[in-house]
Amino acid sequence: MKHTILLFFLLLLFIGCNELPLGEDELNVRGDFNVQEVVLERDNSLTEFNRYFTVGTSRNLMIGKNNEYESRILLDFSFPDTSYSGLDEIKLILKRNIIFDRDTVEFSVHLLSGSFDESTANWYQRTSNEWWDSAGGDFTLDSLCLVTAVHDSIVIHFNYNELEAIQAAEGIILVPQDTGFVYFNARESGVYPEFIIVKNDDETSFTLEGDCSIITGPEPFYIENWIGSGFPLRNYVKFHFDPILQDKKAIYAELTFAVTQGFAYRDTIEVGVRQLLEPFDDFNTSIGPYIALDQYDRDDTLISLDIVKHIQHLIDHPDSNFGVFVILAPENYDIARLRIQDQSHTLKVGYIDPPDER
Amino acid sequence: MSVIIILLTSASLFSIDGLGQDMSVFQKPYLYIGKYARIEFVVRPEWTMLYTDGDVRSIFWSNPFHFFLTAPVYRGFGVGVGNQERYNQNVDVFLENDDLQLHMTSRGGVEEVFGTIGYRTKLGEIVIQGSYLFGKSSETWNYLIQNYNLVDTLLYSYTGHIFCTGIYSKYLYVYYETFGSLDMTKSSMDTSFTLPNRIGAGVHTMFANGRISAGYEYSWWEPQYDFKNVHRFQLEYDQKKYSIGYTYKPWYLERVQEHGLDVSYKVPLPNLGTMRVHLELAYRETDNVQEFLIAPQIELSIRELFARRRK
Repeated sequence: MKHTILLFFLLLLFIGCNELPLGEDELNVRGDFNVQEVVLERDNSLTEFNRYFTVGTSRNLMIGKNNEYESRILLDFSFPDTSYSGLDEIKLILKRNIIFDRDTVEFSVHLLSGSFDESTANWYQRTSNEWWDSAGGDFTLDSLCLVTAVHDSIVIHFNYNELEAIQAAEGIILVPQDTGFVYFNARESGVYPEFIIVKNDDETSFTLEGDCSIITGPEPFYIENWIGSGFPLRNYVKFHFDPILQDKKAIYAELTFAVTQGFAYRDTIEVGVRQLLEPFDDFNTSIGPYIALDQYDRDDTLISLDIVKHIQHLIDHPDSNFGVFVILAPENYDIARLRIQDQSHTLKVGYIDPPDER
Repeated sequence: MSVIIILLTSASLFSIDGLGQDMSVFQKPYLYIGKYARIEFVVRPEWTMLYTDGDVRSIFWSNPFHFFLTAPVYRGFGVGVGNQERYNQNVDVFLENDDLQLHMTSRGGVEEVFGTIGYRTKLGEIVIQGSYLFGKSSETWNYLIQNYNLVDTLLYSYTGHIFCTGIYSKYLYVYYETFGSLDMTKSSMDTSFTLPNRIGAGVHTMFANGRISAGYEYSWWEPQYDFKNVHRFQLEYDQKKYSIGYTYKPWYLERVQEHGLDVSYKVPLPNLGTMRVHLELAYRETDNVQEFLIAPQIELSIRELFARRRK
């Protein structure tokens, strides 16, 4: 008898503890939970770029060029103020980031005549308030050597004279000589570019003071729709807020657009959306954190992102419809670009009436 | 002095509406002043089973302790303090509507802390009770549609008060609850409720080696509320070891009916006291769904131990 009672209660506890929608009609006393959908009308879309963007904190060092982009690498090592003799080997080692496709790229190594700050250097500036005399860096016209990036590790050998010149210079710059791109690991990745001397089988590695890429790229007409990284292109898009959404609860907000062309050197790309916090002005208009971020195959022709946070924000604050930036993320990670088909932005919002409070 | 530990509980799908399930139905204010102090602790686990069109869903709940302390004071006067749940807002329900899956859970409700003063005369016991009401509840609305998920939370907090008075005599009792007010704070706007007035009366007498009692309760809301004024009835038979009671207690929500059955068995515990095992069964229904409640309860009394020490 005791066991029967115990078994009965155990059955009550474990059997039927499921998620069947029983009693769902009772929920109707708190509201109508039929999902409605509305497609918002696009107000405007355009592209902004920033030619002064810095990629010094990138995990990658990018070198290469094509008919629109060019990226160079700046390196600065700290050498003790001594002269060397009896060295067996003087070499610079760069390790390729293998997640990227690689081209066979020839580049030249030059001495920098102006110092740089890796966190603020770009194609036009060597520091936040100092400009290169020549866009793309100030360096000696004669190169120390020509190198072809073929393998996963690039080893560049120097002689005594070149070592002394490098010690005396403000750093070195790697300049691509033909088309294609190669990605090396920057020190932010944990795999450092190394400048090493070898004497009697003993290796001495010099401290890396700074490494970064400087990039120039295309500056599209503003009414075209692009997203890009490396040389960043942000696609601004704004939709009219439909008053039907007032006091509603947005369940999803599917922003979609078609991609017509582009290039990237990795298999997957990340596309994100950040909300403008103030009326649109330019590339540097204040924006919030990512409200949507997702990965796509680089060959995808249709991108879809859920920006329900943006719509719910508009429902709560209808006066703050400043639009969003669509971004190829992270913007400093690599060089990539996608063209968005004009007029292809759509925003489909699913919503319900919020539950009535008690 | 006696110590009674009772294990009990409650929750209902229908608590989604209004203020939730009214837990004060047939809660009488009397102290039953005797020679000894008495203390009760209450915990009630509960299985609620929903049934509709051959499908069954069961939910397990457990509520926190409630306690009740009464003590004789001086020349027939007694005092009591305790707490109980006034409105229970625990809910767990799923909805499937086309592509939308909605899971709504609610936890919390309105608690009551009360103080009672009683006076025992030759005719019976007269009591006055004042209660402070407080509590919080949170509702989580979890929407899932296609691959999109959204969670929304509604929070409520409550404060209020209510008063009750009553007379309990050898053959009948009467109680009346009034001046109830409850302030609800929520995200949109605050609301004040005037709680329903409640009057109850009953008779009881010895019958067939036991005691039989019949009770009636009527509660009514002010006209501005869309709640129902309800008549409730109760019939109990209590022997030395066994008791059984039936209660008809429709809710203040228009569509909800409830029938309850409570049976108990008292087990003597030598040199300690007694243990009473209850089993509360209830059947609730609307036009669409039926709900079965099973709530076991254990009551432990060590009154005899204390009584022996006082000798």
